[in-house]
Amino acid sequence: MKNTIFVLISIILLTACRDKDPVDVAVPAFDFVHVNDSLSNEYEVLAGQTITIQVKASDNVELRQLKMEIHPAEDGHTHDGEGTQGGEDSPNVGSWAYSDIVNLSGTTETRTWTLTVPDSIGGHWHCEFLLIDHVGNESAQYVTTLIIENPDLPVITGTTTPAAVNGEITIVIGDILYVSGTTDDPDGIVDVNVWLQNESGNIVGMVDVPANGSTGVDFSNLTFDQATAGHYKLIIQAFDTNGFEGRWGTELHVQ
Amino acid sequence: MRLWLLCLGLFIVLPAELYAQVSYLLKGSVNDSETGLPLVAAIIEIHETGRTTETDSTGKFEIELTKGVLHVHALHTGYKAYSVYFNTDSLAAGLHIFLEPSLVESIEVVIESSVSRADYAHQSTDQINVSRNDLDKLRGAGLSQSLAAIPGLNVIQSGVAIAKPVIRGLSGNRILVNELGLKQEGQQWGSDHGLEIDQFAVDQVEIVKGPSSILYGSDALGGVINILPLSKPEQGLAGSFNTMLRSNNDFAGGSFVLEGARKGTFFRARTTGNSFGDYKVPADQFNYLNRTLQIQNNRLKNTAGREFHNSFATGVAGRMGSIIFTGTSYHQEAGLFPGIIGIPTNNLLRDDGDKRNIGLPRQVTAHYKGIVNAVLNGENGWLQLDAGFQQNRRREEAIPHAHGFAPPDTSIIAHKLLLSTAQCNLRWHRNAIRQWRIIPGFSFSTQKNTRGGYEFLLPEFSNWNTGVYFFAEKELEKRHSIFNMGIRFDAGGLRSVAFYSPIWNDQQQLTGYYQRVGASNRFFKNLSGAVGWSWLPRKGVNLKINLAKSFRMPNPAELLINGIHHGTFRHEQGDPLLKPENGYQTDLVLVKEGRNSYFKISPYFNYFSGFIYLRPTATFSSLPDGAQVYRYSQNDAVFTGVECFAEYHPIKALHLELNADYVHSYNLQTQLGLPFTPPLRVRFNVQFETPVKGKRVSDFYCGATSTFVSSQKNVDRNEKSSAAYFLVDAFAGASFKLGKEKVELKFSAFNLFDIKYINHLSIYKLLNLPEQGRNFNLILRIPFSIFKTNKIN
Repeated sequence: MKNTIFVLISIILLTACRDKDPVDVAVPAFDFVHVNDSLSNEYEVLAGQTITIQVKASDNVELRQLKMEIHPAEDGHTHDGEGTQGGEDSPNVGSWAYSDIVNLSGTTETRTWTLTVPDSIGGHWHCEFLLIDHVGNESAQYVTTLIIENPDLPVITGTTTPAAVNGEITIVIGDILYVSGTTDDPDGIVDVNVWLQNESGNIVGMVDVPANGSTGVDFSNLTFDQATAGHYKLIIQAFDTNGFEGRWGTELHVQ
Repeated sequence: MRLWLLCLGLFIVLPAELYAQVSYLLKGSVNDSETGLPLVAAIIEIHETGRTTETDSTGKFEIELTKGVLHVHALHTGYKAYSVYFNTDSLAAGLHIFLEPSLVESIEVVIESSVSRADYAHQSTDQINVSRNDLDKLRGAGLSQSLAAIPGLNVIQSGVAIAKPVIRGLSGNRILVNELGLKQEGQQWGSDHGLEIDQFAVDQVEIVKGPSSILYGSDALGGVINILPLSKPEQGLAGSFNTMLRSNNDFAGGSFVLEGARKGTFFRARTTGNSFGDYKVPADQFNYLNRTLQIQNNRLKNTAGREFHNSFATGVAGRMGSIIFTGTSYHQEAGLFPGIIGIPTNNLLRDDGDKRNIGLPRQVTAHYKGIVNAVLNGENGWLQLDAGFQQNRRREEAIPHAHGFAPPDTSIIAHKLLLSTAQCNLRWHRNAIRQWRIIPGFSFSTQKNTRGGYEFLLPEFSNWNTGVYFFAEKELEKRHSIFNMGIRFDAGGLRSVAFYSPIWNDQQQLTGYYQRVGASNRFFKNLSGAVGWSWLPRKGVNLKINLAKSFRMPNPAELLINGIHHGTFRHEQGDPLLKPENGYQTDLVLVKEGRNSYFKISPYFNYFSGFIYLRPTATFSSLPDGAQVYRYSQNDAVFTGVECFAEYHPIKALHLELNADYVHSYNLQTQLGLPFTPPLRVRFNVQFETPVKGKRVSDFYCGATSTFVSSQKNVDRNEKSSAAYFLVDAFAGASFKLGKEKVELKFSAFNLFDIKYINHLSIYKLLNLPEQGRNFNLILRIPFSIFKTNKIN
């Protein structure tokens, strides 16, 4: 009887001490993300070009979904910044967005997208990828940047007085901001606008520069003043005869 | 229905008990229990009326009140707090109080719940009283951060300006912040939504750790932060100017208060203004998504803010009771680190040249309150009414942007939420009947929420909530123990309208609408109950045990939310079919106190059936910019832990304190921890203080605190674990005589060695952003008196 009790207690204790089934908390992973068969954090592509994006994903137990999204850089939440035409000072031009969610299964899968970049855009776009496995373990976001070059867009160069420091012009209320610039396009420039917009996106000052279709339109010492402190964007916009748009921009802080 | 009628009847007949308001002049004295010497300037407070007085140079006092059974407190620095019930009919010889000397600060104050109104020994739950002086020493960027140093309390924060309190691992709608008797209602469901209370206006806070649903309502299952009313001003006209400077984020804040009293009437007006810049971290870069991003000038961009608060209170207190009207307004504009909305890039994080600029994204919060607190004394007890209206206006602003094929936004207002709440609490504090003290009560609240903005989280809704309760307490003198029990019935309903989102094609043309959230109409009801026992087996030893069954109705966000919550980096989705969550909770407190030492340990175990939390699903959001869907789900869960507190005075001037807290959370279905579980924390505090009063300088103190926070690996799925860290703080202060007034100057240095660490309870943890670096604080309080009359209110 004693032995029986001892064995029963031992079984209960051993059962209680048995390791629990391991909980799957391992996140799925990207084995690779290729754009046009190459691996990089940034890819230079031409507007109008067809690109191939290939993703290989894996999980220790079972994959469930893959999400791919393309939107303007700065996570699609701003439209300025690291534009392609003039680097830091060129906001994105045109709109392009793409989103796809695909179901996956098994421990490894490869998916491919073939997309055509719109011919009217230029700038930096983010291409983001996320994975989830069967229980909701989510991978770290994989982000790659598509730098879209577009030689058909008007090229704009702007200068200001006072000049921008670290990408931002600072003036005090009552000061005058002088803006000069050049716009070039072999097809001819038909429209040039220079404007200031506030944080809400409202235009608070605008100058329409005459353009008659010539390949280069220059302007100098356009003046802007601002009576309200705050953050603004200074934008130069030009359209060529084909309707392609070019943009140049910088930040303005009025204090 | 019968229960409702019974409760209604109870409150109809209660006023009949409020009769025979006969005036009575209470005389008495306060002496040292060991030497018998009279104690000068001991504070005597009649709790029911709020009337106070001080003992004169012979230790005597007198105060006018209503005849009946009343409750008095006696307080004096260096003595154990004392409270007693007495019947004016049995005090022909006056009330003579003997205070017991003690070096332990923890027991110098009465731990007094504003509802049950009994001292610490009477409470079966663990309660802590934090005074303005304590808050000044702990002073964080806001009230929540100041309280986070208390064992069992933590704070979930977004930067330094936005913070919400956590008690024993529970937060949001599981703990209740009670100001002036009413629950603070301000979209507290969001982990990035802070507490809208002016920290300068808080004089005393009481924290109830553990289930408190019976007296405070179903949301109090995790605990209560009870912001106590300010003491009534002295007779005359006086005020003070408080200022606070902080080095890390160039914080400059000030609060001006003017107050006066004449006989039983008084008023207090306060205005507060705070401005702060982007805060500094001990790092010049951080790593996110395998990219190294710059932190220019060691400042986190766009974490600046400004605040402006006002309050006014006026009232009259007499022997029959008191009535106080209070109005407050709170305004905060706080920037959010740009990486909290979208992916941070070096361009986005570029220094804008102005550390005080509040750019986008940002939160703009306004909170308005109007409150009436009334007490009516009767011979057999007192009736307490707290009623008010509050409105929370919340705007979340972001740079206008495009969502998929939708045209770019034309406004910066992403979310605009307007929450209006009307509340009423009524309690009858019945004096002892055969040693049973009973409190029946009733509460009602109703809310309406409207929305706007280009993003969507919650539809418009209205809800109501009502509860009736009965609390009873019996003092068993022979057994040296106090037994309490309570039962509460709550019912509530929620009604919301459907919301439809537009559908855009790739030409940015509107092609139709789809239903984002359906209309909802829910009704909930349930019973809560609790029993508690506090036993004093011998002098200096107190054992408390508390058992409670509580329940919480799902809040509107848990039922209805469906959208990208940028503040928490995810698509949050409610479930309109959620059931109430039920808690089965127990806690134990053991206290051992001596003349120069104090020790407390309080383990607890909470089991929740149908615990509601945001569970990561195996589905991606179909919304533009949306990642994984987190859906409100119900699992059974356990929160268990322990808090320890030890205080020792080897000599009178030297204060040594060691405290620790630990919470373990466990989801019984996923077998993982639950989100935002605080890690183990151990704090050691050494403080030298001399109450010796010099001619010019007095009340000098200085000290240091070291805090060890362990790593946290008990995390939910997809929640980041965090590493351990060790921080050292230092502080000093004194009072200086300026004319007849005593000016207080307090200095503190937080994170003295500028340690780089990640706070497990920070929203910015997801971005791998370190916490605030070294921070020197200076607090100056300059009181002034325009004229004084006598000391008796």
